[in-house]
Amino acid sequence: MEIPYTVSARRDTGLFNAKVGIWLFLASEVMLFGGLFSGYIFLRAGVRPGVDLPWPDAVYVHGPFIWLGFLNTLVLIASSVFVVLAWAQLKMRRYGMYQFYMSLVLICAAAFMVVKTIEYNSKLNHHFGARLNDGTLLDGALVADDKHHCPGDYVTFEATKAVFSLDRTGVFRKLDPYFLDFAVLKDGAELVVRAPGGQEVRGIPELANWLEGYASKNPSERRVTAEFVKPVTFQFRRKEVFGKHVFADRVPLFRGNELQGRLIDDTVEIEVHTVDLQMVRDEEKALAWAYLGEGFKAGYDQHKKEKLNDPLHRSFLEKGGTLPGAQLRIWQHPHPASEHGGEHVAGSAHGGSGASGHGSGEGHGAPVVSIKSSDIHFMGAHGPKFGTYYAIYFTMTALHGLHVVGGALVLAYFLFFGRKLYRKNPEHLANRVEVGGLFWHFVDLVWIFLFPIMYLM
Amino acid sequence: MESSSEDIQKHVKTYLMVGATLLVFTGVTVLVRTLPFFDFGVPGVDAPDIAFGLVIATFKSSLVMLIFMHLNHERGLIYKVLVFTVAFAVSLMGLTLFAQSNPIFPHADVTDELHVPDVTAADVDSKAAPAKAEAKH
Repeated sequence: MEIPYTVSARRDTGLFNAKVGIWLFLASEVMLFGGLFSGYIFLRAGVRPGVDLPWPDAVYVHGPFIWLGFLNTLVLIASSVFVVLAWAQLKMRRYGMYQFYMSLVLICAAAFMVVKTIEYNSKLNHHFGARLNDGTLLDGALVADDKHHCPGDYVTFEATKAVFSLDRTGVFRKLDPYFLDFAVLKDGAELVVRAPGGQEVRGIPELANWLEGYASKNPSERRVTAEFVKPVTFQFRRKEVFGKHVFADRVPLFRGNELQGRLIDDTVEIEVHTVDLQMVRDEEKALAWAYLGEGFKAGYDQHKKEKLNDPLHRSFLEKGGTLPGAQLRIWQHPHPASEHGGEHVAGSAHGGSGASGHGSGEGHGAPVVSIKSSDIHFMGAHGPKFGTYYAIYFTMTALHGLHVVGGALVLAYFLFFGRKLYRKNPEHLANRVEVGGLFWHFVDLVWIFLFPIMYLM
Repeated sequence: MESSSEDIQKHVKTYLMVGATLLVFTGVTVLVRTLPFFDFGVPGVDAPDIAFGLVIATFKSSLVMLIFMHLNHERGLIYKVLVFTVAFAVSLMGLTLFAQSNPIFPHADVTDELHVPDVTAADVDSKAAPAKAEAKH
């Protein structure tokens, strides 16, 4: 028998089944996102100035950030209009126009996900910040090393010995010379290893074969040490290091392998776009100036004076208002002091240790600094673990993004497989599209709140 | 509920106008953040700015709910479900805010608070380096 009230409404409620169902579902979704929003309110309101890490100002996080979010909002609003128009066309039995508008909805959904990908890529792969031990935050991007294609957080280590793990349990059942794959051999040096038996093994494929053979002949051994005939200098990203801790005489890698030898360099090269001294006790002696130089310190003082004197701040202060001092301590686009106040001098920093003027090809002459590992409290890309704001940003936008994908899949099903139902019972299809459209509007609603909260506050 | 073609056609115009309104107010939302004119209260983002931004967001979402989601002429059962939803959602927000104002151990773990001095009009007039101005406070 046919399920009743899939098309026609019940007399008592005036509703068809799916409509009741979708509204109940949307009510539960309100609680899901409501919980996350209230979590955000809790975290945002609970930041204790001077105690907790400051909440990043959205503009300082990334300038074009706001515009990408704005673009996504326009895209979703347009898609909401298109989905309701698609439903209207279906009610008017214009199937071709229904297909047209529904295709536009799917194009908007794809555009939204593309913009989201661009945003996430920028945060996870481009931006990088380091908080130093005195509270200074130097934020910007890792400088890429063109020769080896290693980003600025690479470690240079001269290895005399390698300890290979022969552990065949778990995920790494198959012995793989993984660390040899990612490690970029400096200056194209060849890898020559003296195996315990005394023979020389030359090159990575032979080393892999030898390890396989050794492991099968010695099933009870867990590790084997091999000496490099000549010390080899490796360069690899910090994230390849197990536990991210590099010792002066050894580097533990994933898969239980280890390099032994001598640490040459584990400084971090960052192109600085923002200097944030909100958490620093003494601005005069901030580590930022040790790396950038006194010229930049003068530029910072100049920036603070300029900010105080700009029309908005000046008029507010002269009317007796009080500004939180921390606001002045965020300095975007740092530059050395210029003779003419207020002029932007893009270019090299002189003085100080390690600051040089070449950018990473972005062309705005941002200073590049080489930070000693021992000065770094924590560092990383602008990913979820960089701070509370980032954690909740990624949680909420990713969950919302999954809802966009799910909704788009359902609407795509109605677009590509709707004709059969349309021929059989067009009102039934119209009802299903209406219900799918209600979910889509809900997704738009969530974004209407997410955008100002995440991007603007 | 609209069942005739003419009714729906009339509504199409409404949908387009509401869509345009939403786009305009999205632009207003961004301007609230970027234009100094819309910076209420203390310069920078503070409570009045957040409230204003949320008022705009609430207005936009009301438009979507009432017109796109047809809540302006929906049936009684749906409204009854939504009353419970609103009540629970408001309670959820209310509970978290209540927890803020009545903590169990207020800042007991804070032993080393960094206080960045506030900035007042005196700092604007001072021609000396800002570092000296802050030492006054």
